Amino acid sequence: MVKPIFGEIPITKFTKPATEAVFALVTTAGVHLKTQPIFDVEAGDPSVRFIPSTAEENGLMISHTHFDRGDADRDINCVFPLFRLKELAKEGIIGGVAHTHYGLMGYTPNTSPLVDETIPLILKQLQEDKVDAVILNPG
Amino acid sequence: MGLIQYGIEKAGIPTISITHLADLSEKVRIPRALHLRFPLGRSFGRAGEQDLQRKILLDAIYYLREMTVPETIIKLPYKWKGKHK
Repeated sequence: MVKPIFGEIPITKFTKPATEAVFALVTTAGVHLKTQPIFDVEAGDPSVRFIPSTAEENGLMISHTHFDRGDADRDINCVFPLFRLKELAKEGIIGGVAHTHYGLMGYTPNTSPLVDETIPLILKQLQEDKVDAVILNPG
Repeated sequence: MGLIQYGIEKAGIPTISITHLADLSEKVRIPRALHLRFPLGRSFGRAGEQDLQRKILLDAIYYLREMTVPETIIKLPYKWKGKHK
């Protein structure tokens, strides 16, 4: 199921030095806090889980079921490298890690609620957190 | 994921994504992507491969600046070894 995006594809130049920039992660691998609701995969759940940068590795889980989680269940950084990103910030290679990161579930046959509700929520939070750049990965 | 990346980039925040299927990403049309021939669920490598996870993040940060033409996909040199391809 491939839905191409029509029209011009935007590009925003990344001009800020990485050492001053705040980075956020977005994954559609179904990552969230264990205390947050699991994704309703077969219903094509289009919602997002806000994951605070203070999350601990053993406090996270994956509820997407459409890929082999053999590695990611043992090491969440395979699909959500928050803990590697925090190391880069600690070493001064990047300016900082955003307060909030974003877990979604990639199987969303109906994209309308994603576009109309979820993406605006993500944009609002990214702006509130003054995020300079975003790294995404699928699931 | 393409729609999310598109939305963020359009809002003025630079984005880069990992893709496992370059053909699919070309069709969906996204601002910037790094192609890795790794299986889904292992965008940053296998469990415990901290060095590789870090390298791929550093690549993403590097190419975020280098890629200034939309719909560019760059293939990363890392090879997937063993099963689960």
